Amino acid sequence: MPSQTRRRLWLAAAATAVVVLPLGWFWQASLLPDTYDLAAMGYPDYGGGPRPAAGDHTGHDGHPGTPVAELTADPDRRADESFTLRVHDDGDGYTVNGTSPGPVLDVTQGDLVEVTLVNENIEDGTTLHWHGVDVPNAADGVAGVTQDAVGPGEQLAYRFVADQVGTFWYHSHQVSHEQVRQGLFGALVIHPAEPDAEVLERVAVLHEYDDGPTLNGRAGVETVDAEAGQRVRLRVVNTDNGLSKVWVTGAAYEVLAVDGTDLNQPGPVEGDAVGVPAGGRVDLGLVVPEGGVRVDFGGTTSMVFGADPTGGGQTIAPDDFVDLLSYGEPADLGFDPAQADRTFDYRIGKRPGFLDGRPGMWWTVNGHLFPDLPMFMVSEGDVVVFRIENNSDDAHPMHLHGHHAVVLSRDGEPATGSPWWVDSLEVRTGESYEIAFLADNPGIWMDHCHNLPHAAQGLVAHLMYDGVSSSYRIGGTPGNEPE
Amino acid sequence: MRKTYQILALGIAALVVVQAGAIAWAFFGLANEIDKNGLVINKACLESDSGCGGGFTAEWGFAIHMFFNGTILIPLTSLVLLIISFFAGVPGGVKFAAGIFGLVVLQAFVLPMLSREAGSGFGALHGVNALVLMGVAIMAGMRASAARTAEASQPAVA
Repeated sequence: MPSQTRRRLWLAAAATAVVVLPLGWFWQASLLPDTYDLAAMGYPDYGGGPRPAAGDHTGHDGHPGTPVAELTADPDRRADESFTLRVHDDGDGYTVNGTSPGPVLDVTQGDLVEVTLVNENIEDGTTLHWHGVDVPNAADGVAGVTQDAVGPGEQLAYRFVADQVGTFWYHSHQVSHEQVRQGLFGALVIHPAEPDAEVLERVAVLHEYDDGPTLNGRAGVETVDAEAGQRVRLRVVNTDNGLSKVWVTGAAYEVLAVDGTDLNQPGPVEGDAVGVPAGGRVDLGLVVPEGGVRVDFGGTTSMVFGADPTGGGQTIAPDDFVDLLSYGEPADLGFDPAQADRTFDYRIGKRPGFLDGRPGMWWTVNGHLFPDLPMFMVSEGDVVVFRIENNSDDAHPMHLHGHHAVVLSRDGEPATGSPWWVDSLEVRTGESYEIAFLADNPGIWMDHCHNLPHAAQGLVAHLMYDGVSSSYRIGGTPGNEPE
Repeated sequence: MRKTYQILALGIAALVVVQAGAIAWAFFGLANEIDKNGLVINKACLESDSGCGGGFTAEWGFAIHMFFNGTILIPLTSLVLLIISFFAGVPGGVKFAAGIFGLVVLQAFVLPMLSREAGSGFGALHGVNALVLMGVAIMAGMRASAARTAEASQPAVA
């Protein structure tokens, strides 16, 4: 072979190596082990607050502390209300006690609720997460973080005190981007001990199945008998992966509650829609007028009280949303966000890279790809501020487990309305929010995007308390796969 | 190697044509579903993989454009073309392959992201860049073809 040809071949091989080797290195570095302790994931972020005093460990795992599994409701207290939820894989979807959505669980504030999950035949295993309820960590239902997935033929009891009145929901947090979409969920309503008997209550569970959008499991219009003058509280639960636009025709309405927390002095809304983020809930209050009232959910399903004021026609979605930043009247928060002990950044971006060996455009948190994400470290009693910034090309309904956070500002504009407490906050492209909460529920808590495929694509970080140690692992024999 | 280079370069041009066809098919199908069957598109259904309950076959146009062809096949082919170009000895072949790879990165990743983040106007550049990419890929293929012809017409060295 002439030396010129040989040199050219060497050059070509070297150029190939320059292209291929970095790709191979990034690919190899992104591979996740078969099983790992989530508490060892990523890097600790103390948010400018003190590092834990216990021990001389430099990381955020492997130190002594209360195991997650021990963070339970009072084991000596008897349950006030008990339910059994049997979940089943029908081949083309999942059911809870034979239906999807599963039954609405109506419970009373202050009661200790015990729900036994029975996995009849779901091969991947399953769990139940109590979305929006600030349960003890061990009852949070996240596979590999707060429990092992419940395998086929197995069962597990969840116990928590229903301490906050409001609209919530339960859903699987094992392979959740598939199990939730295919039906493994239902609504949970915590009622006050003495409910207002004059108010007609209805639940509107929104879900997109393979066959299309549904309201309480059915397509089309649901009609509720109601006389003129009847007061209604409509509890809307968005179990989908995207924002739902809800609007009312025929009457003014009030936004009574968001994510299970009542708003302070809500005012009448006319002509605007209300946005319900993925995973979020909104309670609407209205009075049925002569001629009836109709509530539309995304233009696909609707609920009519009395007669349909449109006569069965179509309505046009309003352009604008109620702005919860200035809706209602201010009230005491119960803590002072200006005296924050820790301030965290949660900047969401997107860049090319590998996720467990798969090339693609993946979400980043503070510039890092999963699993090299921040572990937000807090101590019990801390006042915590999060600055969430969405620099990516899609909206992200951010869901913090185990806590309710209050919105302080959006794009630098301070909140001036009712305290706006959220557990599922829609952060649109280009938006930034400041939210604050009191760290009063020790454990390891997910803080992730509730567009569940996004979570499966790595948009999932965690909040971890000082003095807590993990009890479970991702992967392993139970096949824990929370997203 | 030159033949492989030629096939890959012209293949990329052909895949760009497939992209154009797929997205037009998808949007006509979508418009027909809305017109004839009252399909409603909203965020919730876009984020599910239910096809918004329409169940229309033109939905495959989106899958081809945005997934199979657009983010897997074309980027992968352009990467292989770049590697082959190092060995093929096509005059200017490496430059053309690197240019194609750069245009593909722009087309498949940068412009779609800008179209969503910064403004839909970048979508117009996505359309223009597709034609540029196709043109450059055809030119690269023709260069390889010319190099092969020249090679074949040279007298054999005794």
